[in-house]
Amino acid sequence: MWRKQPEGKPSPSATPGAPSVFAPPSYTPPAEKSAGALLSASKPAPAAPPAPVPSPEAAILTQGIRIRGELTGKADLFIDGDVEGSVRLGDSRLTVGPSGHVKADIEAREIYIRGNVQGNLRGRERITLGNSCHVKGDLESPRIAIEDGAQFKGRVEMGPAADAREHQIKRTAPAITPSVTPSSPSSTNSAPTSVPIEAHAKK
Amino acid sequence: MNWTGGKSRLGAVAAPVASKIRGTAHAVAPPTSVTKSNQKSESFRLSNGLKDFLWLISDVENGRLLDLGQVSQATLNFFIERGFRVTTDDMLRSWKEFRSTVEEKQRNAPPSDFNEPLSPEEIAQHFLENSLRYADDQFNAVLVWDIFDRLDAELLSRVASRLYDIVHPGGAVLALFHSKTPERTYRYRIVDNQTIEIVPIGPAGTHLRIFQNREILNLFSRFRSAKTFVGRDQLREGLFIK
Repeated sequence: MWRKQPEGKPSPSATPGAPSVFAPPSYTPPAEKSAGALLSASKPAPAAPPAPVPSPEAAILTQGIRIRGELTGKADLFIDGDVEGSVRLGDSRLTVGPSGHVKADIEAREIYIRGNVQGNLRGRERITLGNSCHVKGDLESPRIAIEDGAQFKGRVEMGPAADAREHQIKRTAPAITPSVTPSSPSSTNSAPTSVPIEAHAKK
Repeated sequence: MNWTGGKSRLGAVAAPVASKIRGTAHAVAPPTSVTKSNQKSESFRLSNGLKDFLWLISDVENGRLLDLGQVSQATLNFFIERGFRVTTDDMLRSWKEFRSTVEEKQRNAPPSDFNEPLSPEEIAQHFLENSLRYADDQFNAVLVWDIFDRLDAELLSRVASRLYDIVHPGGAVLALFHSKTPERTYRYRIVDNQTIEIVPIGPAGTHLRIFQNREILNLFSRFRSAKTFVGRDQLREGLFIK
């Protein structure tokens, strides 16, 4: 139902008259000029996070696609459709676009929300709530950034406890997706990965 | 400053609270104290209520704070850096969404299923069955901001009562009350230990009432002490201690 954008190939949407549900969204998140200083338990005044633009290598779940079940994997993921279940991207970034509706607990390295999410969010490195988001659930991450206008209802947990829990998530991540070729954490930022996101039907 | 709940009213219970509350006379905070320009004077205000609120919870370790206003990075940052676990619950928005959902359901109900429409009290009751549901004595501090000015009447006493239940004994609630109808709708965020930033977020129209002092005290009558600060900018601050 979704796949990674092939490297070196033009996106399907770039071809005139070839509509595709996998077309990358036209949405480009703006820089976080309205966000205050990034929250951090360990560093009082860290630099603002980089603009959370979905990487070109990210798997894309566009508007109109609906998934129920468990999403796991090692690739970055951009969700602009509907997802219900759970999302676990141990070492990757998850972006929920402005049209995304996610009803699931989410675990990822970085989480950036612009759409509607109901569920608990665990970001190993960072969680960012964009100004158009609507989030109902608890946040757990060493760093949390909330832009003005974000709608949020829930508990916020940061600091050593959240940090330790996130490290535990990292350690157990391979067990979640044993079939996925492990990659080092540092490689996820730059090198594109060919590992697809996996979906499991909810039992 | 109005200091209500003297010894005769509070009896022995008031003693530790009174000993915790510093000073006897706080100067009214002029709205321009922190400012250098007109725009700033409208945005920032010195807050003696906040100062006392923070002082009251300064001894708390691993405290829990509930913010009933719109989520604010600055406020979150402020309390998390002080070791608090923060829960944010934009109650006014939740209430409006709930009420409009119920009203829409009632409007669209087929005639065969149509029952007597729920009264405002019943809608409020249903709302509180699913909202503001926290364990008793869970929070050491609650930021209410000005939501009591903007909540529907049928919710006021219920919410105040629920607040009392969820606040830990000795915990504090900080609320704001406008003394005249504000020109805009505002959100609030904490800048530092004694400064609140007031951010206009929309046109006026959501403000429903002006409280008399007596009404405020009645609303929070279950709390063992109440203290109000009156500012020249027509914004009163109420500090209530369980």
